[in-house]
Amino acid sequence: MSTLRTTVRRISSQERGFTLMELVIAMALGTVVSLAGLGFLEFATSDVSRINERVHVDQTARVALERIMLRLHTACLVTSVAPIRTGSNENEMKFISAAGGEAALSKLQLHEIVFTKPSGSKKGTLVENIYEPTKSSELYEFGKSREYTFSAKPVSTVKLLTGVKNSERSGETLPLFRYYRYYRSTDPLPTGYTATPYQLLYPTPLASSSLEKAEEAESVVKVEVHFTAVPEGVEPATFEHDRAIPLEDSAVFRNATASETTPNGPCQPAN
Amino acid sequence: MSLRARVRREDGVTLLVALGVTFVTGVLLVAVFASSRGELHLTATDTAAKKAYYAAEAGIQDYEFHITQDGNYLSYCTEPTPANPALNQYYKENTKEALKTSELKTVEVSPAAENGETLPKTEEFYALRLLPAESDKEKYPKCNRTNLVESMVEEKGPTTGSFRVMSTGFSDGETRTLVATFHNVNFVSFVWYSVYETGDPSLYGEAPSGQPATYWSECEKFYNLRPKRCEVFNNYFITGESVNGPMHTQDHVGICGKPIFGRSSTDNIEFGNGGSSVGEGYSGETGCKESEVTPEFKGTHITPAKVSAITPPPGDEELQHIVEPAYDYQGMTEIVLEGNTMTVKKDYAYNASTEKLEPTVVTKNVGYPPSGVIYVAGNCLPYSPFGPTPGYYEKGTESCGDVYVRGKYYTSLTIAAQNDVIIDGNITTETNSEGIPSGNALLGLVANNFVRVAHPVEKLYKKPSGGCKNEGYVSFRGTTYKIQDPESATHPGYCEYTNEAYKVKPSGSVTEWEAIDACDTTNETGSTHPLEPVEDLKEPVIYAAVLALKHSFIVDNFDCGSPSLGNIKLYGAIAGLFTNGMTGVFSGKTAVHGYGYNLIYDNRLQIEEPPHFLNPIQAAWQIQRQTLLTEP
Repeated sequence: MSTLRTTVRRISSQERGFTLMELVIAMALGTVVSLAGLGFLEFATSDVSRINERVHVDQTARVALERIMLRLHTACLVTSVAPIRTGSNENEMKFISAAGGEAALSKLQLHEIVFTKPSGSKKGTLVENIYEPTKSSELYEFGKSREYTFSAKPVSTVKLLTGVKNSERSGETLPLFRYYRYYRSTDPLPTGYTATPYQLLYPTPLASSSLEKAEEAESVVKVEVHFTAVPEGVEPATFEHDRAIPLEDSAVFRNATASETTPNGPCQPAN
Repeated sequence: MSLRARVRREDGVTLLVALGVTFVTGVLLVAVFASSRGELHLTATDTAAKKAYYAAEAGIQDYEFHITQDGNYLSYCTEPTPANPALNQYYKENTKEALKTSELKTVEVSPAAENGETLPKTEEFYALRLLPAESDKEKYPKCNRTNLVESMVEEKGPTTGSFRVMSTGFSDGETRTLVATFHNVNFVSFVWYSVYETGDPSLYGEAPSGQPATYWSECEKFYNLRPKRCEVFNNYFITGESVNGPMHTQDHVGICGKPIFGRSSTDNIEFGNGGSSVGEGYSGETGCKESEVTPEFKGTHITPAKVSAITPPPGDEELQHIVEPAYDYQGMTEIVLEGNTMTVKKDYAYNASTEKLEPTVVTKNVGYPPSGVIYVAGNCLPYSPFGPTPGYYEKGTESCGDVYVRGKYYTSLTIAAQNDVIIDGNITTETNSEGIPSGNALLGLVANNFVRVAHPVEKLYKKPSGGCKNEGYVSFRGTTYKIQDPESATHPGYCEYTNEAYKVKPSGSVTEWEAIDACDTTNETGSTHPLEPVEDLKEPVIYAAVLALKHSFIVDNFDCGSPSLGNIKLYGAIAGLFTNGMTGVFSGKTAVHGYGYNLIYDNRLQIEEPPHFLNPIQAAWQIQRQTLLTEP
């Protein structure tokens, strides 16, 4: 007890301690460190949020793209009917598709994927319209020449993605949908060939305007889909606007190896 | 201050710096973790799904490869040789409960070797399931080797003749399932297959003097490209004729009147229009107004734009590599089918007393070949379908790769000849009371050149204006005959000739006779025919798939003889490079020479074919549809 009292008395009698200057400097340093810490904290929080939004848009965009690609992968239904329909263009793709394992599929549909470009504050969108045939009795007959007619209005409309814009590559804006066909006898020969390489894809995409013609639309054997998904909210200037995610994929409409000697079309069996 | 003293001091900002760095690093780590965890998961799932899709594709291609190599691959169900461990039935044994994905046998995807280097396997797997036909009425459906057609092939509805294979791809917990629908497209897919709908150029014989040697061979072109002179043997379908099954020709079709094409909408009637994609692929022939061209399509008419070329292989020699040595015969051979065995006559030699070729080796009770293929080899000079006695057992033809066939078969067999197949009797199999085959046996008759129906009428030639020659030669359609008797005693007004046909044009004077239009029908009963054993066939019946690779199916002397022999009943399929219609000469729907046609498609050929029956250059079974099992 006497020891404790002695110690307290000794400390209280001492005059050593922080000077005012030391205290001010310490407080200033502490404030600077705290502000820096808060700044880092705020940065980290916003970055996590930024990344979460990116992950979210990545996820939704991939799902949308996968949905489109799977539909395209199940588009070779009848060898006599081409998947890509007249009226498709770089912002709108119309194709037939159906899934299922039945011998005679019962649910042929016309899918219309429509890209609306962003305009001002309005974000770009990808929307899928689904149409069903007006007649169902004559579907899916192999080798048969059938002209399908579809309902004038879509039976359902699904918004696949909001915040879509055209992708860019080397400063060039890529169309959302690009269409390719095989070489034709009227095409200039590629380097190293002395005869038309019917089995090769013609390297230049088909012009959108040409797809108004049924003959051209029915020649499409490959489709490329390119788009960039932009997250919701204001795009911060940091990290070079890296939140936008460019995605691309392609589908080839082919049931057999393309013939080297005769012209080829989509979904052809062996020629 | 010494170094030791400085080290001992504890003042400074080290802690603050360390804390700051740690904090910043922590923030960055959190950011990176948040980013990578989300994106890695997304990317991994996306990649696995894509790998699973392509693994399923690999499964489909696996099956397509095997069925391209062997057109009967389906008939092995899940037990082919060599074994394919990816093959599964769809249902559990004796149930209608589908196998779960965890219960499937799978194989790992093997990348194709490059430059002889075997690449490592991947970590993707696929399983194949054979989907039973929806039309199968069995209690527990499955691919059944003893009941293949009913168990696997759709027999009604728009997908008639197809079967389905389901392929599931596995990758890192993800699965994708594809269903491919295969449809049979080969020569036996059609009751009538031809490239050119015109008569074989060899019908015309030698080129006229002063004309190039290619004068007639130029008829081997499509309708719009053929010279006008080739119209003589253009085939055309007329009122009263019917094509009882699917049909494919790559040429334009001549029609006059109202022939019937197909039996029902499931029969495709494919008119190719000679490679041009325009038009309907048919029109009236000379002398037939367009208003009289009114075909009835009971089948589905496929317009030229939708018709794919089906190209025949260049020859049947590949079958010689398949056949066992004991069944690889050389020179003229006769085969009499006797159920599950046969009698084989071979090694023919000339018998001076009979003036005919006769076999020196006759073997009875010969078993059918294990490979299912018999091959008769031997090159020969070109055959002419016209002539007084077109080459039956004739001296000089003993080395020809000709095979004479008749009889009854209970086991599947393909008989191939390097030259001609000659049908000299009925060819039948087990049938029900309606004449429909009741067994599984299929017969294939494959000839490099002609598949012929023996029709050994004799011909007489009208006396030319200059009178019959005492000596000399007459040339008709490429064959030169020696004149021996200038005036026929039995047929006044006609010249006679010997039976001796010169395959090579002899030296000396050659006279082109003026009118050649008569046939001696007195020998058509066969009883007095001088050319035994070949006799005229009364209402011949042929159960077979016929393929004439470089020429056509034809009746010898089809433009000769009274039409008293009835119709040829061919139950199966018939395919030739040129039209298969040269069986007789018709006036309206009445035969005036040769035979009428009664051609009926054997539906079994939609999915099965005779052993090693030749296929078009491209795959016989083709994928007609490929879809995902579930809606994306």
